[in-house]
Amino acid sequence: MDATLLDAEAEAAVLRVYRQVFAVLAREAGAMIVDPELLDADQAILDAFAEAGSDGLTVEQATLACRGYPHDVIVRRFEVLRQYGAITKLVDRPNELRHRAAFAPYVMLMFLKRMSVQGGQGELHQLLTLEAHSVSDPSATEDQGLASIERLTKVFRLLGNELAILVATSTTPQLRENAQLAWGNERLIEQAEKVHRIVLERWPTLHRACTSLRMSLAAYADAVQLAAGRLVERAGTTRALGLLPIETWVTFTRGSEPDVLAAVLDGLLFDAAAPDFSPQTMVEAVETGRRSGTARMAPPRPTADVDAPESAAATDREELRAEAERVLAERPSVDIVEVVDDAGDWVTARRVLAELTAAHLHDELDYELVWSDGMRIDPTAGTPWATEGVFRRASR
Amino acid sequence: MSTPSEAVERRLYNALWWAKVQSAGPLEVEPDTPAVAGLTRAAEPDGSTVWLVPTMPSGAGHAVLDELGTPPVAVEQPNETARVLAIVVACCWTDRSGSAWPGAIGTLTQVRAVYAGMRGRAEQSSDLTLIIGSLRRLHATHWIRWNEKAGEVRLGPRVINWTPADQATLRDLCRHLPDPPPAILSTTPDTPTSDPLPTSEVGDE
Amino acid sequence: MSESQHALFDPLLQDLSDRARDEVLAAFSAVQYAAHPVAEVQLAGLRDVTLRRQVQKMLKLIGRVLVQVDGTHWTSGYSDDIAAALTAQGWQPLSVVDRAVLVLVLIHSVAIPRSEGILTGDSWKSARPTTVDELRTTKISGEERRLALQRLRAAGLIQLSGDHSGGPSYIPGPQLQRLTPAARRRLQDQLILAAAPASPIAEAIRARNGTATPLDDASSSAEQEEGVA
Repeated sequence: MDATLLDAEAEAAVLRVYRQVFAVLAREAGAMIVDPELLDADQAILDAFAEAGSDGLTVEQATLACRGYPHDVIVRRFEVLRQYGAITKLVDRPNELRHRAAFAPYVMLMFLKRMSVQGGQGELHQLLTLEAHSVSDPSATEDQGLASIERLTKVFRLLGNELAILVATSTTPQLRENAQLAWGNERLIEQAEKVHRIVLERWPTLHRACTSLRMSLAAYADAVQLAAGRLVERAGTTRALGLLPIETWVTFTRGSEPDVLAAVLDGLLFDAAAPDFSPQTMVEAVETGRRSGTARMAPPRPTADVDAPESAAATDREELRAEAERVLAERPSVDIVEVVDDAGDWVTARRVLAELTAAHLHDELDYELVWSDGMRIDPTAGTPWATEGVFRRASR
Repeated sequence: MSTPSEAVERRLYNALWWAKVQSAGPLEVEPDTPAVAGLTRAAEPDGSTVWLVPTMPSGAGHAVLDELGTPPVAVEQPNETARVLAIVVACCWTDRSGSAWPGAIGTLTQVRAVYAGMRGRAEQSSDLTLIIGSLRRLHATHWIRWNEKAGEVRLGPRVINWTPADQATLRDLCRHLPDPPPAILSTTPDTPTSDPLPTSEVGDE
Repeated sequence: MSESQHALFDPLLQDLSDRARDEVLAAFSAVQYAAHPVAEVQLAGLRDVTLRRQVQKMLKLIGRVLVQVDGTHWTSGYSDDIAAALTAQGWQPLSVVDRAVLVLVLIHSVAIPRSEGILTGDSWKSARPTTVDELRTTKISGEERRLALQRLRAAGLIQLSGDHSGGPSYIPGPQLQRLTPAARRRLQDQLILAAAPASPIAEAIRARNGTATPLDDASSSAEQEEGVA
C-alpha cells in the first residue's frame, strides 16, 4: 500500500518537473514551438523572474520587464509557462496576481542553447562523468549501477542509430554537416568503458547489462567508422580536410615540431626555383641600369603595386630598403615634415613618400609610416603644406 | 642494339635524373656517373665533380613564355639580379675566346667596382646590399657560385648552356661594361686555367 | 654544344613536321615553365589531342605528366611513380624548415577554411591569407622563417596575398597546382593522419589505403562478446 503510494508520488514529481522543463518547448499546451524567437521570449520572462526576487511578478510586471517584446507575445508565453507549471501563483489562492518561476525550465533552456551550439557532446561528456561518479559512490546500490548501465546503453544506441541512419539515407553534404556526431567519439567511448568497468567490478552479476552496453558502444563505433569511411571516399582530393574540427588544426600547428610538420609532405616532390636570365634580358637590365644610374632614386611606385605582388617590377625590395635607410640615415625614426623639406620641391617629396609608403607596405621590410592629425604650414618651405607623421623602423 | 628491358631501364634512369634536377636544380655528381640523355655535363675545373644541367631543344624553353604572355615564377628584383649576373660574367669570363664555363674566380671588390661604373657614379652604401642580395639569389639558382665568406664568385653550371650566339651577345655586353680591376684573391688561386673545354655534350647513346 | 640535337627528345621529335614540332615544344615549354596553368585554347599543342599526346610523351621522358586544372587549363607535375621512387630513396631537396612553413601555410589557408566550410572546389588553391603571426606560433626562429618564406616564394610554392591589412600574408603558390590528383590526395591524407591520427577520419583513410590500423579495443572486445550474449 505504502509503496504504491510512494511510487505514485514519485511519478507525480517526475511528471511535474518534466512538464516544467518542456514548457519552454511548448507553443501552446500540447504543441511544440517552431519559432526559435519564442525561446528568447521565454528566457526574457524567466530572467525577469530572477531579477524580481521573492516578491514574484504579476503578468503586467512581466510584460513591463520584457518590453523589448510585443506585449501579447509575453502574455501568451506567460500563459503557456503557467499551464505547464513552470510559472505558478506565489500563493495558491483565487485572487493572487503575483507568480513565481521554477528553475528547471531555465536550466533546460541553457542546456538547449549549449547543445544547439556544440552539438551535445559536452553534455554527454558531463553525463558520463556524473555516471562514473555515482557508480563509484560507496553507498551506491546494485540497482543504481544497473540503471546507470542501462541509461548509457540507450544513449549510445540512439547516437549510433542516428549516425547509421544518416549514413544510409543522407547526401554527402548532409553527412558532413553532421560530422560532429563522429568527432571526439574516442573519449566518449573511453568514458563509457570506465563506467562499465567500475560497475562490472563492483557487481559482477550485472554482466548481462554490461554486455549490452559494450554492444551499443561497438555499434556506435561502427557507425562512426562507416560514416567516416563514406565521407572520405567521397571527399575528393582535398575536401576531407573539412571533416576535422578547426581546433584540431590549430592544436597541430601550435604544438608540432618542425620535422613533424615537414613529414606531412613525405612522398611529395616540388620544383626548385629555376629562373631564366637570357643574355638579352641581361643586356636590357644593364641598359636601364645605366640610364637610371645617375638618378637619385628609382621611379615612384604607386601603392597599388602591392595588389600585384608577384609582378616582377613591384618586388624590388632592396631598392626600397636602400631608400628607407637613406631617409632614416641611421636614426630609428624621422619626421615626415623633415623628409618633405629635405626633398626640396613637392614633386620630389611625393616620389620619396611613395617609396616610403611602399616600404611600409612591403611584407619583408620592417618599416612603418605613421601619420598623425597635425599639419605643418610654412609659406617659405618648398612644400608649404605638410601632414605630420613619422617614418620609423618597426619592431617585428 | 639493346633489349627492351634495357631500354625501359635506361628510360627510367633518365627520368629519375631529370626529376632530381628539376626538384633540386643542377646537381654535382661523381665524374663516373653514367651519362643522362639531355643533361649536359659541366666539369668542375679540378675535375673532381661534374654538374648535370638540363638542356632543351631549340624552340623550347623560357623564350616561349614571352610570346604566350604566361610569365614564369617571378624573380625578386629581376633587373638588379640580371645586372649583377652580367657583371659577374664580365669579371669571371676572362678568356672570351673560349667558353664561359668554368671561367675564372672574381671578387666582390671587382663586382662592386663594375657596378658603380655601370651606374656611372661613385659607389653608394646601398649598392652592397643590392649586390649581395642578387649574388645570393643567383647562387641559389646555380647561375653563379658565390662564396660569401671569401667574397669570391664564379660562374655557375647553368652558363654551360649558352649558345655561340648567346656568347657573342654577352661578349658585346662585357665590352660595354667598365673593365673590372684586377682580382685580388684571398685564397691561393687554384688557377682555373680555362681548361681547353672540359665540357662535353652528353648525347648520342 | 649544338642545340639542334637533343639526345633525349630527338627520337620523339624527328618524326614530326616542323609545324607540329613547334607546337609541341611551345606547349611543352608552357606547361613546364609558366608559373600558372595555361589555357588549353591558347596552344595547339594542348588543344589537339594528337599533339598533346606528343607533349605527354616528352614529359614522360623526364618523369613528368600533364596535369589538368579546372578542366580548361594544363600544367605539368611529377609522375606519381617517379616521385614515389625518388622519395623512397630519401630524395627530398626541400629543407625541413621550408616544408614545415609550407605546411603551416596550407593548414591556415586551406585546411582551416575547409573546416569552416568556406572553400569551394577541390584543389589546394585558396585566397585565405596566412599571416606572419600565424606562422610565428611555431618552433622556428624568425630568421629561419623569413628565409624559408623567401625560398618558397621563389619556387612559387607560396605567394603574397593581396591582403596587407593585417601585415604581410601568404597564400598557396601556383606550384601546388602541379600536384597530380594522387599527390593532392596524398597531401590531404597525410595532413589528416598527422593532425588527428586517432580520429575516425584517419581510421577511414588507413582503411582505404590498406595500411595498418591501431586496435580499436571497444569494437574488438565487443565482437568477442557477441557470441556470448
